[in-house]
Parts: sequence; structure tokens; C-alpha cells
Amino acid sequence: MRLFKLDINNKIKENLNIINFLNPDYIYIPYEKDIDLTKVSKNEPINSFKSSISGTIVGLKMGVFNNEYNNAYIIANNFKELETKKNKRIKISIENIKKILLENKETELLNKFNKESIDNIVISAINDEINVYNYMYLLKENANLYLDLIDEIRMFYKCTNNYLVIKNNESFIIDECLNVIGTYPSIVLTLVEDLYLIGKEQFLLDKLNITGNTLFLTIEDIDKLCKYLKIIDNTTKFITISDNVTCKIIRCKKYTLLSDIIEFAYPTLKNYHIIINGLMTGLEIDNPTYFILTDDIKSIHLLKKLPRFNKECLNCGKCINVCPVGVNPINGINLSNCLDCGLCTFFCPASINLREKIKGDSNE
Amino acid sequence: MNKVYIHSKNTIDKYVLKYIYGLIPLVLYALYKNGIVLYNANLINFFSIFKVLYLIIISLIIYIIFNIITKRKLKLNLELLSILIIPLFMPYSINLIIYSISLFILLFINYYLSKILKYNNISFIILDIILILIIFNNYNYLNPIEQTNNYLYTFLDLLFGRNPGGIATSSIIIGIILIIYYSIFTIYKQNIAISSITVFLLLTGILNNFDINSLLNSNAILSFILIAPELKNTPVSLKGTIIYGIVVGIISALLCQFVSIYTGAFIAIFIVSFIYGILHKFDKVKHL
Repeated sequence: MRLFKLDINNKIKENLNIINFLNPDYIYIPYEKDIDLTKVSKNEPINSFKSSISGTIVGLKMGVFNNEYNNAYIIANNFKELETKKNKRIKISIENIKKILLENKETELLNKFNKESIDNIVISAINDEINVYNYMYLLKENANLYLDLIDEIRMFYKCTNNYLVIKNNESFIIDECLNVIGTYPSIVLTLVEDLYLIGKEQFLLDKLNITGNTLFLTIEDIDKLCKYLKIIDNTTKFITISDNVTCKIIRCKKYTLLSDIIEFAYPTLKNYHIIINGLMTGLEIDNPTYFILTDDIKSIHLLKKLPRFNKECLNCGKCINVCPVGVNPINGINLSNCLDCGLCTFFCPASINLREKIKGDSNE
Repeated sequence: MNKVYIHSKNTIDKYVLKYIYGLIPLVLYALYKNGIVLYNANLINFFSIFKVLYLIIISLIIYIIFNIITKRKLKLNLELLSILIIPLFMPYSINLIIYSISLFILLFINYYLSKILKYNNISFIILDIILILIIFNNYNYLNPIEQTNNYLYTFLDLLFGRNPGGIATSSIIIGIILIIYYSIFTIYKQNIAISSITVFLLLTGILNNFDINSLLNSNAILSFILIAPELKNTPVSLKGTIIYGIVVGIISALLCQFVSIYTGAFIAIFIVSFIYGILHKFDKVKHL
């Protein structure tokens, strides 16, 4: 199994400072059923969601949540950040973690904690997508809180092998981690090469030669736990937004419109294509005025032009050589193993959209 | 829509450029061996030093005209690369007019034929040009100095290319460096080149009692490096490329033994690619 460093033409520069966009005029909460409210406070439940601002419900609007169209309550911000009552932290214990994960329907994460014994804990702060830095900045912001939580989890499982893994080229986060990691001698800071897909569990564990029962969590998982345990504020979210030249990390209120975020980050930019959730595996959206910032949206990329795709294969075999799981898109072998990582399309010298082809073939 | 919105900086035109850079040492060596050396021996005039360049320029001009006639855009693609490889394998004695006319006609024949049949285009055109040269009594792989003298070549002579061969394809050592360079920097089916060279050397060695003159056949070895690993009509899997290379090596060794030491490898590559093309046409797996 061989992983690759992606050779891209212009690696854009990220802005090292987090930019706050915490005062949107409106937010949009998905509509589930009618509610009897006109004024809402920050963190007030609206069906199964919680308002990220305080304000007034002014109407309904069509929006896109988790790639599905749905009505949404429009909440006009009163910019007062009024909270009904201060949330108390939930005591950290495995039982409580499982309970809150069950309450929040986080089944995938819950399954990770349902193992009987755990030999290793691996926390990955690696963002695989190109020019997406959410994990790094989450760790930069909350390193102490996260490490506290990891240390508590470690003690519950009496686990001796605990790793916090970051990329070796992200120097400023290495400095940040080195400053705080000394307080947690049981957690080892591990640096790995900047390779595409190294953040995926199967490849990272293989690279680190870790075997046995492993609790593999990403920094996003830790962040979620911290939010559910009310250790950190659950009304904001990090998003990476980039154009062809720069990249900004923005802390936004949840349920803000993507068009508002784009206008805030790049007010003068015009005529661009909008890609959400990464350039390798993302999705192009037509109208950002419908898209609402939910937990599943991690990045926005604004591209002046999209790559062109051809149809004529050179028969060079590059796609087979680069595939980390041995898929052969030319002859259609092992299509079921496809990770949908986009490497074959990225490296194809003839610019064929193999990702789409594989998806089409495996659906047939 | 499942797309990838970013692409590697290594596109086909960049790979083709790297291929072309790799051919420069061969051309430079040709200018020395089939140019400066002959000029110093007073066997050719000054302008004949650059014969290899004339062949390349003629090929390019003909290719441009061919593209204009067939209304295609001129691009840095594999076809252009083939056009640059063909003149390197030509015999020194080739008549430039015969070469120009035959290449022009053959490009059209190949253009229409390759729509029906799959085969290695470079070997097809080279073989046809050689056939035309034989018809016009212009076929001779020896340069003027090799025609007038009989040399006993040492191992190093053969390795560095002081022996007869194509106008720019006599240096095996440059060929070996090319395999390494192409394997690292371009999309190259090195398994075909390595397996065909290995099998060819083994079989030729056995058949000729490991005589170095038969073993270090520069035309054959360079054709395994530059022609046999052509991308379009060769397998893509590891096993496939190795088997393809082995078959090319075996047939080349036999043909070099019984047909011609200079053209045996071209014939073998053409036959194997042609058979592969037929098999490939009828196999039932999905293709892009």
C-alpha cells in the first residue's frame, strides 16, 4: 500500500489567524414541526436543533441541510447572545459519553466506545483534503481542553499507548502541541508525513504499525464530545474557505447561510464555482443562498474555473498504480473496494473523470 | 456529480515534454558518431553532420502538414512523440526525399488503418520505411566509416555505441539511463522494457554462445526501450506488462537470429502488439 503526496500547481497560503463571523443577520434552523415560539435564546432547543443566536423567528425559507431541501425557520439576530440558563458541564465518564452520543444519534462514534477493551488510543488531527485546515485550528484553539478529555478517556480504559497524530509540515501546530503536551506524559505527540489519505484510520494505523484494539478518533470527534459534554460552546463551527490565492479559517455561527459566509470572507470576488467539502471528493453547488452551514459542511472552495475532463484513455495504468486499495478502473476490477478518494482522477494524465466512471460502474 | 476539482500538475503534455528531453542525449550522440566523427574522417561534408536533425525536422514538418490536412490540432501528445522517435531508428544511409515521401504516405495509411486495427504504430511505420528503402536499394545500417573498415568491437565499444545501428540508436548505455529517467519522471511501462531486454539477452546469449556482438544489439535494445513500452497497445497490469515484454523478447531474439539483426526487434514488437490488439478487442472485461 503506497500513499502519495499530491503535486498541485499552486498551493495556496492559509491565513494563520482565525477570523470570526459570529454576528450573522439571520440563521436558519431546519423545520421539523410547528413550534410555539417567537423569540428564541441562544442554545434554546427548536425541535431537535439548538439556536446558535438569540433573536426572533420571522418566517420560513427553503434551505438545503445535509444535501436535502427542507424548510427552515428564519431567526433574525438581535445581537444580544442572550442565554436562558448557563449550561453546566456534564461529568466526564464513559457512561456519560455513551449516553450523550446515544441522545445525539452519533451511532458511528458510539460504536467506537462500545469495545470491551482498548489497547491504543489514536487521535488524528489530520485533514486529508487539500487546503482544508479545520482540525489543525480546532486543536490550536482548544489543545488543553481536548488533551484533558483524551487523558480522561485514557484513564478510563487504562490505556498506555496514546497518540496524538499531526502532519510534520504543520509547524505552528507542532509548536502549540509541544507547549501543552508536557502536562500529559501519557499522550505521545506523533508526526507523520504529509500524504494524501494518511488521515484515514486504516492507513494511519498501518503507517504507525499499531495493532490490537484501537480507539481511533479524529479531532472533530473529540470536539463533538467536548460540545456534547458542554465543555466548549456548541453554537459555533470552524470552516475553511479558500479562493485561488488565499485560504481563511472562519469561526461561524451554526446554521448561517453559505452565501453570507462567502460574502463576508471574499466580498469582492465574482464569477466563481463553489465547491463544498474539498476539491478531491467535494460537491459543486449552484446556489449558496440555499445552503445552510451544518456540521457536515467543512470547507468552501471558490474556483475561477473547473478542470476539463476528457474521454480518451492513454492506457498508461497510472490510475492502477496510484490506487491505495488496488482498484483497476480500466478493466473494472475491485470496484467494490473503492474509497472514493479521487486519486485516480487527480493523477490521470489524460484528465478522465474516473471517479464518476467508477461510481457509475459500481452502481450498475 | 462525482468530480475531482483539482488536477495533478503532471498532465500528458508535461510527460511528453519529459520524454522528448530524454531523447536529446541520443540525438547529441548521433551528431557525434554519425556527424563529427565522419566529418573529421573527411567522409561527409559539413552539412551532413546534422543529418539526424534534418530527419527530425522533416518528420515534424510532415506531421504538421498531416495534421492540417486531417484538420486536427497540433498538440504535445503521444503521436507527436512517435514522430520524434521514428527518425532516430532510421539507417544513416537513408535518402531524405525517400524518407519524406514515405513518411507522409505512411502517416495517412497508419491513420486510417489504426482505426480498424490495433498495433504498435512506431514499429509499423519504421518497418514500412525499411521495406521502401529495400525496394529503392537504399537500405544499409552502416555509416560511411563502418562501410570502409572492418572493426572488432570491444564490450565497451558496443555498450557506448561505436557499433552500427540506427542513426541515433547505437548507444545502449544512454538507453539504460533512459529507462531509469523515464521510470522516475514519466508514465512509462518499464516492466515491458526490462523483461524484454532480459529475455532477449538470455535467449540470444544461449543461441549465440554469449557472443557480445549478437548480445549487445543496440537497435533491438533501444527499440525495447523506446518502442515496445508504447502506452496505447500494451497491457496495464504488472503481470500483463511482464508477459508482454517476455513474448517480445523471445520473438525478437529469434527474428534477430534468423531474419535481420537490425530489424528483428521491430518485426517482433509489431507482431506482438498486433496479436495483443486482436486479443484485447475480443476480451469481455469492461473498458473505459
